[in-house]
Amino acid sequence: MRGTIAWQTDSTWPHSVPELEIDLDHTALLVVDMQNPDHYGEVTDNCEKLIGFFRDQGMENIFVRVGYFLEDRRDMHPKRAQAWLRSGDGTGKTMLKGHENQAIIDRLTPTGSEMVIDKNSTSAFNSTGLEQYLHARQIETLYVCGMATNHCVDNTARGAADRGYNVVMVNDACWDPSERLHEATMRAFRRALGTVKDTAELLTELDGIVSPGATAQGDAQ
Amino acid sequence: MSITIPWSIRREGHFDITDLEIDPARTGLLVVDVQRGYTERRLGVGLALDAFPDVRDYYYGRLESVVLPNIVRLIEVFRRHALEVVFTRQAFQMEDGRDVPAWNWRRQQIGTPGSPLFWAGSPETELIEELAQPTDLLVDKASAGPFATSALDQYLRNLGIENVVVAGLLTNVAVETAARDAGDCGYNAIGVEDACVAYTELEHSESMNSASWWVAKSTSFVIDMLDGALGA
Repeated sequence: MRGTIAWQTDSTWPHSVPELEIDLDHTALLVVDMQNPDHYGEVTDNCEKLIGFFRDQGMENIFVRVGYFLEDRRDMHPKRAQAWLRSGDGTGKTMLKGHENQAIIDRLTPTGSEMVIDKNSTSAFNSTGLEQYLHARQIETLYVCGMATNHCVDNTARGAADRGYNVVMVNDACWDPSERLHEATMRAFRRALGTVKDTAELLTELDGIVSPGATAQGDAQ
Repeated sequence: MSITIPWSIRREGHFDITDLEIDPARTGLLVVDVQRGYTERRLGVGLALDAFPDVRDYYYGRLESVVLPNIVRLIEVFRRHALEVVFTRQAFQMEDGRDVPAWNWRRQQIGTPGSPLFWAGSPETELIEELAQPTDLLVDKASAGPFATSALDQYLRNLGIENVVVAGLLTNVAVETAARDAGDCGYNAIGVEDACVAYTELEHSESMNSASWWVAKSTSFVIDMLDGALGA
């Protein structure tokens, strides 16, 4: 099902592409690192709405999780392994695959038919078979939400844009410990690499493609 | 041989590595997209920027007075120590752009009169003669960051590079994506804050302050680090 969505609407910026045609049959939601414990407030609410919409429409939800696979973390690059040792409870094991903190938070739990991909890098493209999966599913457009905006979300979204995907970052479904860094990511991304939308805005836009004329029919009644 | 340099991943609420031990002899310079289509006012993006005079004046002003001179300094130091200088180009292999991601090709066409756009045979893709030598590795790419559409990762490993110093254009697009991916792939990645430029000062500073698994340093820091460790 094809439809046109607003894209880089900032006409005061060089090279802005005002709108883009996308195909919902080749569109997926990518949920980045929304893992326990949940302290993301409205961002989790918005992720839940997005996941529900994509699930209801029979569109693809893909979850990625960050962590590491070996207890001594030597599967990560050395700086990452070193920094992570100081995090969490000090044991350096809180994000080991299988630990409860490596699990997706309860409210967003994937169904048995939704893909979950584990990574030990920042970008989901630098340590996983995500790209192969997107090829296999013939995905062209990705909506991206999760945390942290300026870290794993930014790197993953850049990785997707660089590989040719149309990428929509969902502003109010991404979380960062720093508001400043969140804004920096969104500003750079919407101008150069893809676009940025809020949850309600994009759900209305996608609804318009899924159910064209729904509003007009409502008026007629 | 190894030295310890101040590192520090400057991220609010995130991790921090204060000092890092590196082997300075395994340092390479990555010069990103310093090509005529981005450096000449009457070529490539220069034509599109005519419609945005504030952006144009800031961009070329900083490029000409700060960024290019610092890139010249960096290249001179790397060559003096017989360290690798690697160039990337935004250079599409097909004249009709069908090897470029569709969204990006469309973007290239908007506001940029004239064609072909950054085709590998066009003047827009030519490097600045004084900077590049025929013996330098040149990597063409069709994406913002060089890792997604080239074998740069493999080449850097072949060249024995562990520390990647990134300079060039634009700070928050190609440079930042290169530095982010390099850091994420395990390289010690340094973005040189006074050897790159974005379309606005805000975007440049936000980019340099949003270091992920890479850090921002000055040209002088990099030169002093190499001269100090390898002999001036």
